[in-house]
Amino acid sequence: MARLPEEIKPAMQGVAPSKLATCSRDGVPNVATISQVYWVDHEHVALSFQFFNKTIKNVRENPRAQAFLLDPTTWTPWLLDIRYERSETEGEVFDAMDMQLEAIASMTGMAGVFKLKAADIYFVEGVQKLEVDPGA
Amino acid sequence: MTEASLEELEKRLAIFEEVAREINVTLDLRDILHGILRAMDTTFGFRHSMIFLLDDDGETLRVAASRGFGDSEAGVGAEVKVGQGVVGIVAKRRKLMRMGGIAMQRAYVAAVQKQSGGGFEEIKVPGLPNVQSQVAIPLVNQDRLVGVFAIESEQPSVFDARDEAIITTLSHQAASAIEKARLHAELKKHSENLEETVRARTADLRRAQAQLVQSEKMAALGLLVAGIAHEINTPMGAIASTLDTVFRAVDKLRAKATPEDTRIFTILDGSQKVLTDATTRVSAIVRRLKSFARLDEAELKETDLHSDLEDTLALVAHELGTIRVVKDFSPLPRVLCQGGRLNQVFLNLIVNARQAIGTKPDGEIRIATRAEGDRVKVAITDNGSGIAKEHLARVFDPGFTTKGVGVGTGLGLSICYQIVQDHAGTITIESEVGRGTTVTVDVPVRRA
Repeated sequence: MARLPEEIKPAMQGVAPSKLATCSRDGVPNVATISQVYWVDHEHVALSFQFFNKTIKNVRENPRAQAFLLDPTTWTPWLLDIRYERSETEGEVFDAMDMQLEAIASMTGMAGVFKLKAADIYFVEGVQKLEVDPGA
Repeated sequence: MTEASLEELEKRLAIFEEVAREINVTLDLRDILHGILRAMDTTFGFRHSMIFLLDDDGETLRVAASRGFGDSEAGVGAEVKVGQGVVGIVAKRRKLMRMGGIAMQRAYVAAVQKQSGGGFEEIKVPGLPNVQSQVAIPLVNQDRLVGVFAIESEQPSVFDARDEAIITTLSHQAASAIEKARLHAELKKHSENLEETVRARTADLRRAQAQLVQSEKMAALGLLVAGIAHEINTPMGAIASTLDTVFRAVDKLRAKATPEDTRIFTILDGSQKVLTDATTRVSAIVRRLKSFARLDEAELKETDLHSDLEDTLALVAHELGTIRVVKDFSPLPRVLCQGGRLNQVFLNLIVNARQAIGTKPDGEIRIATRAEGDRVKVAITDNGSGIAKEHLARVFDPGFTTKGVGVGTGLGLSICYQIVQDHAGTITIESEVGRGTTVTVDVPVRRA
């Protein structure tokens, strides 16, 4: 079991997009860009479920996934091994995510189009802080 | 709790006290709002902040104060709808929201929408053009949404849970202070309205009181005039009848008269004419007095205004002295009115005209009557002293007079105004200093 450190929080504010790697039941991988990985507690993160896409399909078949996050203040990359646990359609986490999405969507005239279907809650199995590669 | 966190807490409490002191010393809304923003900037380093207040429509949030956007009034008045942008959603949901990557999130939504072939529209909201981080909190007082308080930055992820705690605490103070200021402003407005109402009612009351007093005076005068007319009429009847007897006797004596008596009879004939003319004149005056002092003034009657004007002129004939009276009368229909009360108007206007002429030689009062459609106009013009421009607007106010002490009470024109209004008419005045004044009474022939 891993514990999310506080220092990862800046990477979870949606400043830089994150990557999420999933895999289908028959082993086909998929990497998608996601706008934000939300902090739930020291053991859980949440991802927004707005459209039924390959990522959503994959994690329902195969719950293991890996997220790549970037801290915009230090450029530190983070790797999280996560496991899909449940979907929430109400509660504090859902409300906070829904509220943010509604605010952003309303600023682009997309209110009603970009709607949160559910907050997918993932259990954090591993946390890895990577080194910034100065040569990259 | 560590010593450091205790110190931090103590410092924060001190700051809150200071802010509370600053916003509680005034009831002026603008001062309160700027006090809050100043405190946020100087004590917590929140450089860009805005306070939105909810309009009465409950749907629009308007920037009431801002700091860090240029001058102190920058953006003030800009609006955002409830449900639009971070601030609008915070108002809609009445929940604090903290975001750290607004620009990227917007770009992401736009990119996804573009990729899926759809269009999107950038909606401008008040605040920094390239806002990245924002914390917005609803200002709620006693379950009523007052507005939204927002802090912004162009740097990503600059606000944290501590900032949330600070503005949460301040928001309670701010909401309560804003509501207090609003109530104060409302109370002040009500109080001003009340003062205005009292002023208007007092003027009405004074006018009504003046009218009542004048009505009482006119009723008493009416009774007096009617009484005098009666008292004069009775001996006049006796005089007329006795004169008739006397001159019939004179006629009988004439038959027996000698040529020497002819001179005496010539004198008696002259005396008879003088006496007959005098008694006729007295009878006419008495008739006019009775007509002027009609005690049935409350009743609406079809009235010949020319006859009323003649009666009024007869009553003031002595007062007018050598002033020339020009009667420019046009044919008028009979007017349904309270004749006695309109007489009061004409009497006031003619007396005013006479007083304006004073001792001026060649004084003239012109009374013109005209029928225009279903209305009649009576204009009374004098070539007296005239009224100064600055006084014209006030001449119908009760108590206003330009006449000297003991000459006018300032009630005459106010009463005229009221009587003409009661007849669904208008009274207007034109005047020029040194040239004279025209007052025009315009009344409908029949009241609707």
